[in-house]
Amino acid sequence: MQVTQCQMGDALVITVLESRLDAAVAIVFKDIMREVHVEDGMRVILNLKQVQFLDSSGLGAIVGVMKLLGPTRPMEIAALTPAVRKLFRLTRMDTVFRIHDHAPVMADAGTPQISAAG
Amino acid sequence: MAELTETKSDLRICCAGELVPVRQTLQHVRHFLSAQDIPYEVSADIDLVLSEIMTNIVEHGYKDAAGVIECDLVLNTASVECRMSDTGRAFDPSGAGHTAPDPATFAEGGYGWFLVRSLTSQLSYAREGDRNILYFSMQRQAADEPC
Repeated sequence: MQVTQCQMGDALVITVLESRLDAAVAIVFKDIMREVHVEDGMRVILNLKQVQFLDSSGLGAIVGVMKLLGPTRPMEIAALTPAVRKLFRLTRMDTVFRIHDHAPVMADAGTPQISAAG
Repeated sequence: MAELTETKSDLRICCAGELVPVRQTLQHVRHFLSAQDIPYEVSADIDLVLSEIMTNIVEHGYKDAAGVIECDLVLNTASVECRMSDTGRAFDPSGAGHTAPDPATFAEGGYGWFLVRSLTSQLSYAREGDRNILYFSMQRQAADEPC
């Protein structure tokens, strides 16, 4: 699986390039995210635009990443697809994460950095 | 690794009790459901329920010994019925998932059976010899509420 990262203002937008964030890739996802360098004070926006399927293992990994980042690097979520939105609603995680309808759009066409594993 | 037998409205799955085969199998299940005109939302719910149960079997039932997961999916006019079977460690989910973790605690687990319970009806479990048998039913049509 791969993620791309792109800094926009005070936010680092991380886009998950994976259609299924399930138990088989949850640990890989967490490992990739552990390697991403995020400055203190910077927001992290996790762009889930391409994720069509998320299960409780994937959700657990997202929560785990949020905890790894800690309070000084708050994690927000963007671009939930319908099934992913439903999972956030059923688990009420939509009440505790800041969720954006869309990820911020790149002002210039800079090349995003790609991190990959697995 | 995984074997899928399709008839017009039924699907029989036999899948290695490991995470990657489960993932691949469920992608095949989505294709099958889509070909059967199952609405996208319903197909996504079935995928989620199967994923939660199969992941549980892999991570707990087959933690110490390998095995296969069998699943029979029957598409009726109004419902989708599923019978799952494995030879892993006995696990009766009767007491599991009646409430979800408090979101404010940011729990990393404990959602699986709650999701299964939220999306299924007639969930029942039996231990038959060395087998866990799990049965559940789901609506074939999408509920009116937004996804």
